[in-house]
Formats: sequence, structure tokens, C-alpha cells
Amino acid sequence: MIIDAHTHYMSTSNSDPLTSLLDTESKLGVSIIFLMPFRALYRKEVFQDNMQVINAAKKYPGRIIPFVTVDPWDGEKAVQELKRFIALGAKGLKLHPLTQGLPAHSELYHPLVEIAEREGIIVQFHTGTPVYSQPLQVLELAQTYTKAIFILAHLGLGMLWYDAIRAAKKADNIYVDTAGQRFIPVLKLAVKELGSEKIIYGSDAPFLSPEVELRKILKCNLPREDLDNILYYNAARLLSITR
Amino acid sequence: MLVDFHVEIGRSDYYEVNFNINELLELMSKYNVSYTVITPAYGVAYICDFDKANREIYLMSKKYEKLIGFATVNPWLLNESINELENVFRKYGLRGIKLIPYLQGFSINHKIVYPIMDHLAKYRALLYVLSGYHPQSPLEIADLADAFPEVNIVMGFAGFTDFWMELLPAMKRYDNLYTDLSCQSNVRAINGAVKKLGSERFLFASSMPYSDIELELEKIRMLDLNDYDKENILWKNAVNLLRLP
Repeated sequence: MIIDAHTHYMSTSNSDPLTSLLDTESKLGVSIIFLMPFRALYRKEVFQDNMQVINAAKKYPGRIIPFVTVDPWDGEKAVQELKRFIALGAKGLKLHPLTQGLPAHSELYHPLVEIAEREGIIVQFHTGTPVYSQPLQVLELAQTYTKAIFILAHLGLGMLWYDAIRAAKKADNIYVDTAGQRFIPVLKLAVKELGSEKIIYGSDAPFLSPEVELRKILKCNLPREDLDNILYYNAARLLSITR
Repeated sequence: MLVDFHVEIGRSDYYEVNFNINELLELMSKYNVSYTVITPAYGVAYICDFDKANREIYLMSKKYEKLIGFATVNPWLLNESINELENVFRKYGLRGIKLIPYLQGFSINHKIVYPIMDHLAKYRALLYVLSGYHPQSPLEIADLADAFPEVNIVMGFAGFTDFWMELLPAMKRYDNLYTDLSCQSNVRAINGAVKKLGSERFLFASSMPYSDIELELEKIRMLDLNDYDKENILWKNAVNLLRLP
């Protein structure tokens, strides 16, 4: 059993994005996906794009875990939208400082993270692209909102992987996902430094190719228990302790 | 035929890896790799120990004809680097050098690199440079390619995930820019780029020990390309660039 904790509702061809994503994931043995919007991350069609995700989750209960985003620049409107999405079943909040145009520790994010903490939904941050998506900026938030659960997507990518490991090491409430982290030694170092309990498989499909992303994890030659943690149990545990 | 355009040999304390020559030779035999470009491991070789590292690379490539050695120098140590380049090309007969601006501490388009480029031009040698964020983004590398049109430059990692976005504009403008496809997970984007630019400047690389040869080969198989394009990527382009028999 595999959970892919990082996918997007994103059109890449003429076929229906959801059907095509679920088909690809099924072929790879992935039974549950955390699904996030795509266009809304660019502050476009925020409501409609999130609703596609919410509706997809209604159509495939248990198989699709809906994550939403809101535009942090909308202030109180964003707060109300987030509450509404949570009422409609959102289990996670996706934040993308690079595309949303502010550093991860910006005060504009604080009311949103506060709601996520209070309502018990996961906060997943894009990380690895300076100047706005730095793991230690997320650490700032995690040390403020200590009961919120954070996932650092991409394990800091090519430049900030060490910061991602440091951030997850310093805060019990920070996890990392593996999407797009293409250095096998970095994945192994993360397991060594953090333990496999903090590392969650994600592919970033269909933006990145899930076939490559999954194969990469298998190429790390990890003990079975670590592999099971990364591919399934950690994400499952997070879901069970969140809302 | 298959040519692997980039691996690092040796120990890197930074990434806690140690990839030795015997492992490489075994994998080359398992995956029928005809030639592999070998470079020093990430670390002091790129800072101050380049003469020692280059000699090791030379000795390995001398012993095994199928290993193509690429050296390194550090533009900050200009006199030593120029002397070493003379050594590398005249005595060792190597065909290119590798730079890692992020590790070595300069912008790839800074004039500090120009004397090195003059020497590459003089010896018709290649530059392999890891690409990704500043100070080695594809458009920064393109600026260097613009200043030295006579030197062929191969970008490693194809912009490394996010800086893929600069790859197409960089390669579109400068014919002397090539890229390998290692460590780039976006198969869809690779398909699109090859279709736009043609396959003649894309190269297969495993970038071991950072990636894995089977994984990188699988990625090429996943590409929606005809045999002509796949052969270009897997070996023909590399054979031409490296002037292999």
C-alpha cells in the first residue's frame, strides 16, 4: 500500500486530469493521494480550483484526501474561505510562498496557520526555492504554532536540502516530503538524520513524473520498515491524528 | 551503444557518499555502457586539491579506455589553474573540465572564469557545468556561452527541477549549449523541450552516485520520442561532442 502525499489537480493533456492521475497512480500501486489545487496556487480562480479538489474527494472518498489553498493577500476573505473549505472536508492547507509572493514566515500566513492548527488540518509548504520558500522560514512558523503539523514539500530541493533536514530535526511538528528531491544520497541522509518516521513519499504528479519519483525511493535500498514508513505509515498516521 | 556523460568518482563527505571505480565498471558492464565521463567527487578537489584529483582521474582514464576523464580547476587560483590546464590538456590529453560554481564560489558568467574559457577554446575542450540555481542558472550559463561561442558547454542536471524554466530560452539562443537530462524528474517537460529544440543537444547521464543509471535509463524509455531522437540522446550526441571513435 502506498500513499502519495503530494499531487495536483492539474491539466497536462486533453484527457480528464483526475481520471488520468488516478489511473497512473493505480498502476504504480498508490491507493491514496493527497490532492492539491494547481491554478489556485497562482492566486487564480481560487474558489473554483479548490472546489474541483473538494468535489474530487467527494467522488472518491477515502482515496482522495483534499488539500486546499487560499490567497494570503486576501486577508479576512482568505480566512473565511479556508474555514468554508474545512467545513466542506478539506484535510490540509497547501501554501506556496514562491507563487503566492511572500516569505513562508510572513505574518499574512499566520491567521491561516492558526486556523489549520485549531482545526487540526495539515499544513504543507512548498520549499526549496529561495527567497520565499526556505525551510528555516517554515521552522519559524512551526516554532510559533507548535501544535500545527507541517510538511516541507521537496525536502528543500537542490539548494536547501540541508536546511530542510535541520528544520525537521529541530521541530517535532515538521515532516518532509520527497517530491522532486532527486539526489538519492540526500534521501538517505534524511533517513539517517531524522529517522524514516519523518519522511513522507510524495510525487508532485502530474507536474513531475510519479514513475520516476517512486522508483527513486525504491533505489535508496532502505530497510523494509523504513520504506513502509515513507511510502505509507507516516502519511496514514498524520491523517489519523489530524481532523 | 550507450554513453554516460556524467559520474563522480570518489568520496564526498558533504553528501556522505563514496562511489568507487570498481562499482562503476560493474555497472557499466551490466548496462552496456561504452563510455562514461568521470569527474572528481564533490569536495576539496574543486577548491584546492584539483591537481591531485585530476591526476587520479587521468590515471583511471589511462587504465580504462572507456572512461573519459574530465578535470577541474578553481578560477580563484588563477595561476595554478592555468598551469594545471596546460598539464591537463597537453600532458594528460583530457577532453574537458567540470566546474561547480555553487561550491567554488563565483557566478559562472563572471569574468573570473574567462581565462579558463580562453584555455578551453585553445584546446577545443568542453566545459561541463552543473546547473540549477544562482550562481549557475541556465541563463547565467548562457551568458558565458554568448561570450565564448567557440566553446561547447554542457549543463549538468538540466536546470535541476525549478530552473528547468530557464533551459529552453538559454538553449534556444545559443547553439553551443548542451544539457544532460539527469536528476530531472519532469518527463513531460523533457519531451516538450526535445520536440521544440530537436534532440541534437540533449545527453544521457546517470550522475551517479547522486542518481541511478537504471532510473535514468527508464526515464529515457518513458520519453515519447522516435528511435532517431533516443539514439541521439543515448550516445550519438556524446560521441560527436567527445570526438569518440
